[in-house]
Amino acid sequence: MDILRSRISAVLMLCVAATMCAVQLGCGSEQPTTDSAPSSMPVNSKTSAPALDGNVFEDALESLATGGASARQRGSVLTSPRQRFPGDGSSPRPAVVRATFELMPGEELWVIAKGIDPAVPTNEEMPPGCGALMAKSPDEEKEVPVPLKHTAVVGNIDGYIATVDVTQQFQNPYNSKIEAVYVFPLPDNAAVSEFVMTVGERKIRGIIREREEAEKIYNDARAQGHVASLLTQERPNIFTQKVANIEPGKQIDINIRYFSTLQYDDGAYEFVFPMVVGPRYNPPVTTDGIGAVGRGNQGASGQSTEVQYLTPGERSGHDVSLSLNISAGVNIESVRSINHDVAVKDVTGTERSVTLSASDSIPNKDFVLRYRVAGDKIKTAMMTHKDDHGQYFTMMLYPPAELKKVRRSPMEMVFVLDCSGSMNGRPIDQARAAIAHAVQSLTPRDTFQIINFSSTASQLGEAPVIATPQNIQKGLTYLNSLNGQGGTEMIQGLKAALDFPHDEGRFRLVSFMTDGYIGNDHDILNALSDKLGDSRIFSFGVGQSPNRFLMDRMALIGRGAVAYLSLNDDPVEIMNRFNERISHPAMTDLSINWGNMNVTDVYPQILPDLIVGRPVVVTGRFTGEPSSVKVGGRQGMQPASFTVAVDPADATKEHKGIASVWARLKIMDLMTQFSRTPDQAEELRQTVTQTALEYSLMSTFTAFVAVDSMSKTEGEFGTTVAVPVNVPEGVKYETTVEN
Amino acid sequence: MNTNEPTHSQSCSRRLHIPLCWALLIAFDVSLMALTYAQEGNAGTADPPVQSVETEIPGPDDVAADVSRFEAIDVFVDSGNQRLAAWQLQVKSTANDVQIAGIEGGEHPAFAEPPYYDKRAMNSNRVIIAAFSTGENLPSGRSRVARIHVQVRGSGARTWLSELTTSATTDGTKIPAEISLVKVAG
Repeated sequence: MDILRSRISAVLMLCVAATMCAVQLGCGSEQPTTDSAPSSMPVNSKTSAPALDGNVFEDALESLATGGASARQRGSVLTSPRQRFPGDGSSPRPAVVRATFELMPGEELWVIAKGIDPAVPTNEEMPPGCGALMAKSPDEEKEVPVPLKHTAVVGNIDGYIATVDVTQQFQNPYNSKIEAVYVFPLPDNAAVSEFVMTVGERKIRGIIREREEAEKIYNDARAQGHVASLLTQERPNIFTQKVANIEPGKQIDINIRYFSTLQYDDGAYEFVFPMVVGPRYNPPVTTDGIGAVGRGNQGASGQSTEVQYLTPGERSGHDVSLSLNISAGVNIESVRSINHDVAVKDVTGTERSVTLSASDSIPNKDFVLRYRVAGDKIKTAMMTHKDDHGQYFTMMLYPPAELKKVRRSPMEMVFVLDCSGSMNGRPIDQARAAIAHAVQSLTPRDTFQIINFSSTASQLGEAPVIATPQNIQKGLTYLNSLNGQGGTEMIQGLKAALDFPHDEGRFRLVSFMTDGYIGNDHDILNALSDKLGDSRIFSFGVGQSPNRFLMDRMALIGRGAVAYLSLNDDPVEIMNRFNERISHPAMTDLSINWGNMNVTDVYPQILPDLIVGRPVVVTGRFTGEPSSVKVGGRQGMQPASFTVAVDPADATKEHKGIASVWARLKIMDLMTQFSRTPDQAEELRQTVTQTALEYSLMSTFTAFVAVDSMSKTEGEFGTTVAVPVNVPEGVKYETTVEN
Repeated sequence: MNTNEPTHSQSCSRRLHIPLCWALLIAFDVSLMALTYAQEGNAGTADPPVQSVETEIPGPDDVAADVSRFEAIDVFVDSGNQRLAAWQLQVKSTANDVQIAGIEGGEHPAFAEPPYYDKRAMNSNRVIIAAFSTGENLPSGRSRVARIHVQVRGSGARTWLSELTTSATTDGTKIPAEISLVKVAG
């Protein structure tokens, strides 16, 4: 019996050993097998049984791991769970797990290992060469070599239009060539219009092409060994950068330029640069979502786009630098960075220079900069731009000050709290605190409901309850019982929030508190459009790196407003601003008299309500001379209007970004139609493609490609290596990432 | 400018012998004088005639039609003894199996940055590019101003047409210059 047990033990250990051996082979073998079929190495005890001393396979397996062939037969199995050997043998060896077993004379055991040819591309589990792994003590973070060394961000803000240059420095830390793949975020309103690849001292401007065409050019160049790069858009705020044929030790830089408009919120402009894609939840059956997998688990999510995450004990050398030049046009009163340490330099009264601190350079949270301008001096003004395509304008509509004097009607407040696994911990604490404050601010004229969703949805009661002190207490108790776990079936939360009869005597306002970590954004937005009715949506993006595309679009479709609740924000302050907004009626039924301007293609096509503290940016094309326009609407039951004049400095300043911003808005509008009207999909696709190509913009259907035909590397394109990223600060790896 | 005007008019008048012809011929001669003067007077700023230069870029033989290769084509502008500060040009392949896959800058520091291309004119086998430099260090003579990376399918040579539509000095004066294309070896 003991012999049998020891034999079973030996077989089990060998299976482990063989698996680990395969890992080691893939990293360090100098004599690879010729194909991926299993290779085997017999250890025949017939001939060596007398020599058995309980450590038969140590050297055999070690030899396999390093590509050697000799095998002294002793009885110990080397395993190295998920660690990789340096290819050149110069780096420290990883820790080993030793297992002992016995073989009886005459028995034969086979160590079966799947051979891996380093010349054939494999998945990220086997980074080529693996020469840069640095083992640390268990308490220290382990530095993982990644093919992205640094991201440099330089932004220039003029008024409320930002021009941002992002330089990604890819490098190959391994000992054979690679293709680097990096899934990264940009602002959802970023109009990406330039793409330059730098190879050594040479700069090559990328060409915008239809996506399939660009992918084909890139794949051909990659297969032929040329250095090439491809930028594709997976979501309006998620992009994939591929760089092919980076040779060991070499660096390839990618420069991306985009324009975007800034949010203006209660007297402050907000510049946001997202640094990491949060781990998305994809409903079962989805395949075109955004997968979240652990480092090296390529393909584990089954999604068309996948982000690999570092485990909590790992860190990468990838860091970020950021500098920002602000020219506000009016005096800047204060500058505040929400999530990062920054240095702020006063240039003039209206200009600031902001630099991210080098000690806060880990790209695991959004960079959010709010700068308050002299509030009373802010004037609604129109800026214009003229080029070969025609004339464009943009203007920010501010709600008239009189709105603050009018009180709101009774409300039916519905709070929807995301209780999925990604909200576990600090995010849900923040959201609960915010909702608690909002609930306590209600009056007995109002009713409220609290809904939570994760894999399913549940709620405080069957129907909204009057905001009496007792019911508020009951609501707070319920709120405190909620925790984050499970999936993010947001559709369940939407249904629960909108699928019940409307109280005609109250204004229904639905407040979503979520990080928005879902991969089916458009499904949610379509469902929201279908179910909205007379409700208004106020979306709150919670955490350090929320899905801002989803949050922004929910508020836009829901004719409400968006706000962000960082882990560093004071939830009371954020909700007080929210209370201030909803304490006054909005200016509704907006219409614009364009005066002498002949205006077309205005975005947003349906003008939202003007809410206190929350202006609306309107962009369009025109012919004729720029002139003042008159905005009309209703305040409560009374007609109201105000005039927007042309910016006095308009004629002397250049606003090149306006055309790109306009085209980006048009594309976003068309994409919304695309997801809602499948019967017009082909026509819309063509219009999006044509617009994107004409304005040289990224879109779902266009991509930038750049090929260096001068640099031809040896052999095939090497191993594809994803750039693993940190989960956003405050998000738990264990509850969000598939392993 | 026309020193033979009296003779010319007299000759005509003798032939026709009617007063109206005198008037018409005088008007004709005045118009001719004005046109000639205008051409001479504007000689320094008129656009040089745009000429399309045809260049054959050789390619390998016996390559299947669906097999592609990547090539680099250097674009040279020769501005003679004038300093070149700005240029715009068009490069186009007569074949449809060519794709432009990247645009690189030139050899001189003034034009080292990759030039911008006309987004609306960009086609798979045609590109309009332009650049200018406000610096003092500018190239003269023959200088590579850009390098175009292309993907070509199939065997044989391809014919490229290039047109230099603008070449100018720092003060905006248009200058005559010549364009040429050369396939980069390798």
